[in-house]
Amino acid sequence: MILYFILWILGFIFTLMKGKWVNFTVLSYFDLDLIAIFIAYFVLFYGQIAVGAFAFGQGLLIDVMSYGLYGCFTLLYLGVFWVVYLGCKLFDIREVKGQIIVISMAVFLKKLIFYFLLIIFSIKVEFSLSFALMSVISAIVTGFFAPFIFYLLNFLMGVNVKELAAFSK
Amino acid sequence: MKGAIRFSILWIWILLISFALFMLSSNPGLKRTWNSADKFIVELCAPFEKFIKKTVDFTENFWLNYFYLVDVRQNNIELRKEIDRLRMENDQYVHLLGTFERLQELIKFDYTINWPVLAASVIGRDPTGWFKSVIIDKGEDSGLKLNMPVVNARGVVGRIVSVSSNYAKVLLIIDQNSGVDCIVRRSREGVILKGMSNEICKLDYVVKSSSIVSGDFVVTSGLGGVFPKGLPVGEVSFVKDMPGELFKYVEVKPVVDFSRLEEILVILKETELLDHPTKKN
Repeated sequence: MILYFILWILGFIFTLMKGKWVNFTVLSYFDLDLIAIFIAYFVLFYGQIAVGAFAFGQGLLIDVMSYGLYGCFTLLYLGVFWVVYLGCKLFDIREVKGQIIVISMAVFLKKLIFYFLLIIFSIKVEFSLSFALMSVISAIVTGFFAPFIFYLLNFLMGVNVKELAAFSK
Repeated sequence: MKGAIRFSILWIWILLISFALFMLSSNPGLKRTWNSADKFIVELCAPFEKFIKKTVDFTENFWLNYFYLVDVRQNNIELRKEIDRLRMENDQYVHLLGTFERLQELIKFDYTINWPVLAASVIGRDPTGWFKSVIIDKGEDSGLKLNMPVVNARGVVGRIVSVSSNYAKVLLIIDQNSGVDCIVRRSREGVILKGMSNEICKLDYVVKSSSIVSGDFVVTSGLGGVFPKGLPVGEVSFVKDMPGELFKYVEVKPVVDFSRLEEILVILKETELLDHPTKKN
């Protein structure tokens, strides 16, 4: 349970600090999505409601701090959870390959849904090739970054994911 | 028993998703502000954000001013200590001098505005990277209200879109949802400045017959109801007359450097906008 609270706090700190480097740079559309990685990591250990609450809370904080569509990121991170949850049925996220595929897919779909939400709610936004390109790069980089975070969290918490998963079965 | 648990989990999910959808549906043209729950979250999180910013700044300074010098210090420990101390002291003075110069510019700018102003510091930026807003360390308790214009020593920064007791959110003019009624200083033509979510803005509805050229200066017109007349906004950097289009394509480089936004001034002028609530009921 301590891991759950630590990652909640880490998620909050990440969101609050993100604005410092994400804004006003050439890579402003680039988004290394640690929250998505945390959600995927949680799926290994906790039930739907606990992970759903985490996704909901982290998304809500972004919505409050940002001038975007209200509820947009709350919905997006709930979506990320479901993509990871369903992705786990197809791929083994205890394996590096599964982590990369599932998390890349979740982040990419998050970007895609974000795009459609902006269109649906008629925000006057201008989409550029750089946005599309950065979305794909963000998804891939986040996917490839995930195994390192998983390894780090496992190491810090002294967890053997495979043993735990085998035990839970 | 298992069926009952699944049933309750399903209901919790329905509740979470419904709540998110409800929040989404409460976006009538983005004219929203913080409600009580939001204010509570902001009041709770903003001090952490402020603390994190100060910690990061301190660590940055510490790293740049101390660890970089470790190798050199090995040669002459005592001398290095002295140099370190003097360097850190000097950095503090330089920092203070920079702050003093910025504040002096703000004070000079203050004299040019006929409204009372309030200085505030930027403590956080929009975490999405898509929208351009900042959180400042002043709120309702300091007299801030919705739609009050925000400037710095160089020109227009944005306007207040959400406010809690001690903090406020400022929508920057470079955000795609921002529009500022302006005039071109030389030709006095009326234009609308729109953000493009990067360091460049564009002018909407510039007719083909317009005489706007690169280098023209754009200032606020005072017609939008938010910004007082004559505040510097930016300089025309690119003009293109595209065949088949109704209007000219004009880019403006804002005078404010948004990547280095630290201290700002809020002009304590209540808005005349009718479609934006000035007071939350």
